[in-house]
Amino acid sequence: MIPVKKYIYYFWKKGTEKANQQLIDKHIKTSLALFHNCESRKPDQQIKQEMRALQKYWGCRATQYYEYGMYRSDYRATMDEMNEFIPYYFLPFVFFPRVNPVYYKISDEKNIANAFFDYYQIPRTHTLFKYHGGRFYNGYEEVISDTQAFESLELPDLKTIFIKPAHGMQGMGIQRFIKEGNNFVNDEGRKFDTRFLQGLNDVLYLIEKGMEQHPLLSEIYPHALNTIRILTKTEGQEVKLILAFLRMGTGGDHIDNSSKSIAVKINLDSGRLEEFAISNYLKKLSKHPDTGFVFKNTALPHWDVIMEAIPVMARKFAFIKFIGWDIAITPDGFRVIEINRSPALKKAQLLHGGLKSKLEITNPKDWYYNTNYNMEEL
Amino acid sequence: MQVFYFVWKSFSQLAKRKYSKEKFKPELEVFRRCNEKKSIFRRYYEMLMLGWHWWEYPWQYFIYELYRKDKNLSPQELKAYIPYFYVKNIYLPRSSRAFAPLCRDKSLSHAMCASLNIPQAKMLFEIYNNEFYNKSQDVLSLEKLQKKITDANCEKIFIKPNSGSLEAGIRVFNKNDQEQFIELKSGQALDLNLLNQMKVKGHFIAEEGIAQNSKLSEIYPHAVNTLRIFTEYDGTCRIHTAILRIGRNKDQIDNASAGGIFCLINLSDGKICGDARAYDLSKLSHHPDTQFKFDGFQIPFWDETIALIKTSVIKFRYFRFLGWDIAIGSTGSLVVEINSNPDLEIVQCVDGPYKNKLGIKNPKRDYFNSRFKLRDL
Repeated sequence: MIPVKKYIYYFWKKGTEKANQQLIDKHIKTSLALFHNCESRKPDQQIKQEMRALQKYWGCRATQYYEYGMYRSDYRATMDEMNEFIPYYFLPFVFFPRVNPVYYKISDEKNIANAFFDYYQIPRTHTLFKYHGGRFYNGYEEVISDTQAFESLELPDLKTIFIKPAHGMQGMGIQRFIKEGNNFVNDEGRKFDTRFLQGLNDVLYLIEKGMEQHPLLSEIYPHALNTIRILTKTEGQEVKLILAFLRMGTGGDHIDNSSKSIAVKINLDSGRLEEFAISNYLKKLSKHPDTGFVFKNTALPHWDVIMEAIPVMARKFAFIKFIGWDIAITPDGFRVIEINRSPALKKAQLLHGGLKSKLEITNPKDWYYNTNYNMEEL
Repeated sequence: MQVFYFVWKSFSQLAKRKYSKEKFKPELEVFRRCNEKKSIFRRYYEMLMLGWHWWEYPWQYFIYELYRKDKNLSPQELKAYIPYFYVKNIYLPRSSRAFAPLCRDKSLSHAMCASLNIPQAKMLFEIYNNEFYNKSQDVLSLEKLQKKITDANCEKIFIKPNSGSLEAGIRVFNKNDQEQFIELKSGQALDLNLLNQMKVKGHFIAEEGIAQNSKLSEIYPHAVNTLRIFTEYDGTCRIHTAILRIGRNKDQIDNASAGGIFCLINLSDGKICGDARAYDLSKLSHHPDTQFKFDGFQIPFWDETIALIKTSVIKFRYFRFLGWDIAIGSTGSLVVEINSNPDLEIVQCVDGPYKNKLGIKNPKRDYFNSRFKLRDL
């Protein structure tokens, strides 16, 4: 008998790629522009051949060819080495849904993740209050008045607040307000008040206290909270730290994961930064473009504490096998900003090389067939 | 997409036919024994009509004894009883969506309730991955585990499978005179030997047994008799039905499927209204073991319970429909379990049909849906 369920899955995954073509195009827009502007490309025939081989190997569009500059004439790698790079579609649509299947809402919804951080005693950001559709909520999700909510802004050491959609990803929808006199004002000069909140989308927003980062991180780039992304794999009691890198804002941005941001690899054993950071435009930088901070060999503060805490925390979230931890280093330790069950790994592959073996993907095509799945209403 | 959804759901319904047949065996037995059935032609006609209306085998015809002569209902009234597959596999999954594990997984549910300040039974420890853990998921040494059991300030300890439903696999250990916790059924003591055996068998959570309110113990003292409250949230909280579930035959679990009985509570005053029903559909005016009269019994801490439900529903507002299992202790109410896909059988048995309450208009149309995805397991 033909295993119908297995093939339904295959066609579903293929259909998903087609349905998300626009998203994929948007994701590789910058890389495509770089490709078109590149003056020292490999011969067209070779590019076609290599892309076809990559597409055949991964079973989906070979976006990695553009993302990691494989088309450049100075890019010397064998086909096996190129195959190590995972294309964009494969990670969030094929790999992560399979390895982190059921509990994804816990990481996707910041509000729920925060509840678990509190219960598992994991240091996190300070939520002042929450807002959704005209209602204000405290940390216990109890409805409070607007007066009670705004009273929480009267903390003496409160200088900055962030408004984050509970379901946001990659810094989308985050707004920063800085204290000016008695008010909090954003970059566009808008005052943070009930009227501002009423103009927001009909989703849950978390109003969080801006975190003070360690002076060394401010020295690297002072306008954003520069966070560490650590990828872990948990199986039973065993936690494997796969990679780590530091993300930094640039050009006055107040977030560290915009398209303009840069990242530098961290040596997991020593907690020291490697020599070069890299931008989304494949530019190698030995120092920060705004502050001139030289990355090479900089030891990150509290690294031992972080390395001790990560496996303990990952075991508490053992129901999510692969987690991308976003960690902020503070003057007195660290705080978890969020966890990602489907972390974007473009910067990781730019810095660490292809991750196929590290993620233990042997034959990518096998991942398009599965019988262990169910239907889920949205 | 819509056709795919329809085909998928229709096939899963067929695949579950054997399971349903087994599940509703007692109801079928009652049907066979019944001497007051409608004529065979009328029964076929009504079953066909219901099957066509709900697009599934009309188990509700047997569950709610719609075949009886004295159930002289109009077609509209018959159609108002929601069948099993539709509610469990079509209607309620749209309410819980991907959030269902927050209720289904007892460990996660406990964590959510604790951090949202919802009162619940105290968790002692968890067993999984061949290890023992405290509530913060830190590994417990055997000494600490033993201390947790010795220090437990309760008369009973419940060990539940983490993702079990319908009380299957729950083990109850009662404290004896020597301060040991012993399972009455097997005579086994809750000690490190037993726990070491359990740790390779799956994921379990151990909770302190709740000391129930003395008034509820008067009805039946051997089990914690819990309330099942069915709620809806769509910007405002609505409580549809409240039921008291009561144990029997010295059983320490109150669940109807475990042989327990259940009765409807008047939402406005918190009093039991009418007789209780057993899972075999028989009506009982008094508890068979204690002879306690059900009708008119006032549930203690009723107003507090309603207030707790209303605040908790907002805290769990990711779900539209929830079934809350509530225990009443000596000082107030506690959440025992939250069900994102609660059974409606006992609810419709005592509170009548639910179709209009849930605003269901054309069930067949719900078999066509394009808002879904395939989720790996």
